[in-house]
Amino acid sequence: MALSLPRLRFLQLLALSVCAVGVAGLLGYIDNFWLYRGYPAPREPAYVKTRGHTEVIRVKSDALGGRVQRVYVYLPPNYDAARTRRYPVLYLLHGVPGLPQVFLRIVRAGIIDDELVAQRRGQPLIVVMPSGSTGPFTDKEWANGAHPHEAWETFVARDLVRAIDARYRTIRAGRGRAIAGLSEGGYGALNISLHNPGEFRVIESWSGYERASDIRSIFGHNRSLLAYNSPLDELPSVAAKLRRTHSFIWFYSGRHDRLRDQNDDFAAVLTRLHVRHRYLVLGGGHDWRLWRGEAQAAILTAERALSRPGSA
Amino acid sequence: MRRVARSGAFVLAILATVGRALLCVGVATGLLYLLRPYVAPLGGTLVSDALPLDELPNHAAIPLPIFVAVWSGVGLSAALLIQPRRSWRADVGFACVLWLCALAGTAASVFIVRQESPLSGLETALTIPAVYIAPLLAGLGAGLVHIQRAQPPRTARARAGTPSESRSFRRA
Repeated sequence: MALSLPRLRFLQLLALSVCAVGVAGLLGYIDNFWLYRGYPAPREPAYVKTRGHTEVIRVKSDALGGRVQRVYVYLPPNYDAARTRRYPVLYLLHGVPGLPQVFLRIVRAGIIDDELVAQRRGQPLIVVMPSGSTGPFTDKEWANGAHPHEAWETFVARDLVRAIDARYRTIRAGRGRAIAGLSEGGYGALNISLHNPGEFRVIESWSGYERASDIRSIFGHNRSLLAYNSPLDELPSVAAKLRRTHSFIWFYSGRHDRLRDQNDDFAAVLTRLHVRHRYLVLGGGHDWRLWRGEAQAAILTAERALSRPGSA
Repeated sequence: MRRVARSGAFVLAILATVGRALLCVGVATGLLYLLRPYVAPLGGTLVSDALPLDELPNHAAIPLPIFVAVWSGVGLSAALLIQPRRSWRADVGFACVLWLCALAGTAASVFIVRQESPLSGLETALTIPAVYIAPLLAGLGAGLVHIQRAQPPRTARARAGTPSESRSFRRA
């Protein structure tokens, strides 16, 4: 049976409609992956009666040549009501490509904070999520690079900590600060805290690494700079300070993660140097399933290891 | 002059085929994404990694009947809208280009989701059955339109007359 022209036109119109619906679906598919990595949008469970809230602030950094960086700050439940209470702070560093919002959208850091408070399992934390690059696809490694105005480590350890302590009711000491990150952020958390021992009591690396990546735009192939920014090489020189300041390093790697060897080596050196730590090898690779699945354990670890909140 | 026109038409046909393949991959993926929440409870035989970007929350698999219906339907729809050459060769060429597009899309998705190297993403994509089944189904869908169109409409045939009549007219 051959198609008559009107029937063909009708079928073409139908095909066009199918394509339009499909293209709309495709946009939703890509958007959902970009925002939530395929997971549903985060929602608070019904038992959480008091919720925290997010503020977006801008921090000007002298270390970055006066550059203004966007910082997401999650304030715990009852922060506004408890006007005399001081809170410990958890700094979360994103990976590359990445944005600070991923901790709220995919890892559900804010919701986990609320859940743990509602369940009375942990203490409320202020969660600080800075942007560690000039764009989502730009790699800066959270390190002080070889070029001027590229001191991303100093931005976090000095400028950001000062800005947060000045703006919010925080515990203004290392015993009230934790730093954590995923992938490149995990490396950054280790690298920053080893260069500033005592600044952060709890240091967490989620699938991070301990040898600096030889990226020319950051380290300029400078061997001494690479060694200085490799926690594996740097650890022996700061181990005594880490012990003295009661620093605790909590880190994990996926069983199939190609960066696992570096973490195994780092754990062995920490054991040899008697630095307080906990190392976990977990099922999985180097992906969001692992980071999202382990987020509650990671945040709970920080909440329990940090100083309890006191009065202002 | 005629050679230039012929090669121009050939390039246009290739571009149209690539465009049609890309349209098919995009539309089919979008439809599967929209349908997945409703058809996932149906169970039965599942096509794994049909939506490779949704692998992390275990939402990548689609029931086989839905996968077959969507991909063949999209192949048919695209052929209705864009049909550069009405021949079985064009349909085979389309299926091959579609396979390349599906392979590239799946490899990129695996690379992004699993944070593997691009090469291992490609290696993984080569082992995913959906990458092979999809172009086959879309090619079959396009072939259906080709079969329909091979026979010209009755009105057109009447207007053109029989082949012998046409020849005699030209001779005169």
